[in-house]
Amino acid sequence: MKNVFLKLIVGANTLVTIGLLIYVVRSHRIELDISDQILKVRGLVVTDSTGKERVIIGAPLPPAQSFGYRFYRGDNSSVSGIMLYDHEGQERSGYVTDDSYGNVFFTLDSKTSQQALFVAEPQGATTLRVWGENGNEINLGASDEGPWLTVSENGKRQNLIKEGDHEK
Amino acid sequence: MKNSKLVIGFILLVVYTSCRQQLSVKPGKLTGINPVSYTDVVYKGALDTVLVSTFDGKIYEIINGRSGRNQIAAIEDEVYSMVYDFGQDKIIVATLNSGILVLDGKTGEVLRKIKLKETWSHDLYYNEEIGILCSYDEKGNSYVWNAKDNFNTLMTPVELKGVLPRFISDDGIVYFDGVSSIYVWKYPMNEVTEIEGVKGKLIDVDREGNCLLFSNKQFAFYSEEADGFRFKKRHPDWPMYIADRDTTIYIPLSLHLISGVLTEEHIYTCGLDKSIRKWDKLSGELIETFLQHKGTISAVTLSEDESQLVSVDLMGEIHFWNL
Repeated sequence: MKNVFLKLIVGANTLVTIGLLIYVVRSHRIELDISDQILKVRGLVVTDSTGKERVIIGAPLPPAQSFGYRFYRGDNSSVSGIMLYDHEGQERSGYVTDDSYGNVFFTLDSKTSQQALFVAEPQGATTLRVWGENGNEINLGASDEGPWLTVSENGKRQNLIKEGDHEK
Repeated sequence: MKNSKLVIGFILLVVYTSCRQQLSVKPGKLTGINPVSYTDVVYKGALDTVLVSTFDGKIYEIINGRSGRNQIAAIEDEVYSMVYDFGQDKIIVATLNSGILVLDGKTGEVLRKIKLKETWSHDLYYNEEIGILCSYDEKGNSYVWNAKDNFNTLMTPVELKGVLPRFISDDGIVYFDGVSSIYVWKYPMNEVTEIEGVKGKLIDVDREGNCLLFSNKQFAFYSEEADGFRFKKRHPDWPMYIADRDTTIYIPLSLHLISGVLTEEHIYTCGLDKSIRKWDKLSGELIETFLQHKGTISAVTLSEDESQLVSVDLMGEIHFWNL
């Protein structure tokens, strides 16, 4: 009886070993083809060859960083969308929606601050602002109330569309 | 026979469950950081030995002239600022999510966590002798702790409400930055004096009480004796390194300033242009430009005897400068 049992064990062991060997050989290389699949993720990070994160698609996106630290965007300022980072890892552009008011933004940033903003508000008002330091700015936009175009040079603001112009 | 069937069944079950291939995805985080960036540098010895921190929570010891670096700590958080306690061999760091951490200087073990009221801090100031640790968070709350009393919070005079600590001198004078004033808190006497009409971010204070202030692209040197600004300057040009041609071209633009230090005779400033500039403290004349950094300089620190400067950048470079 004991002999039969041992034979069975040895036989089973041999079968399992052969099965495992075949399995390992056949599953050595797995190729996943997801070209016709839909990926559903919370975030996607593109890194360069040195591991620096250059593009992030996420919901929500992480806080922006400065020279060796992050800075706080403010309360209820969480945003989701796409963010671009330069070769030193600094945030330089974003195409995002905010998670509170409902604006959609496209921004271009210098190494220190935002310099261009294209925003559409949920009620329909849309603004394009481009600015530098020392009070230099171009601001144009349109809403249900009318269009506007202002140019500021060294803080001196000039309204290029006068009140009532759009009603003519 | 019944037993043998059970054993075989069990073996087959084990084989089936353990050999079934399972694919797993390595968990990732949306951090938006450059892991090679150095965020801060502090001296660990009198000269040539420093600690550097990285965005991804690593702290290394680096010795001038030696290749490689010795990892002291790996924190599951981002590290923005460091101070070092020479006497107790402790590293105090400001982090994104963990508040302020006190680490063992040899093992990197976390010895203590100090919580902040809100958000996080990216600046720490420490006077080891008096035992004051100062910081502020991203929402503008100021913190002053007594390191000699279990890091309990120190009550600050009412005049210092709403202003941010920026510097502690060797003799325990804490400088706070207001909107257009600097507040000087002589901690040992608990006296506060206000220097009015001084705008800009306070960067450094020398032994005579003169202040270095930054305002975007411009720095100003405030003379305590004259009770006014001695001069205001910018980096006069932007030295842009062209890697393909291994040459530097000078663009007549001034870029933002990031950090700086005062020595007995000179001012050192560094900015987005990746250069370190040496200025005469009396005349404001630009004496020398250092261009070795290829990344944006994130921190500079002066040795205790003011004979050596060390700088780190966002591309993971470090340079020691014998002054």
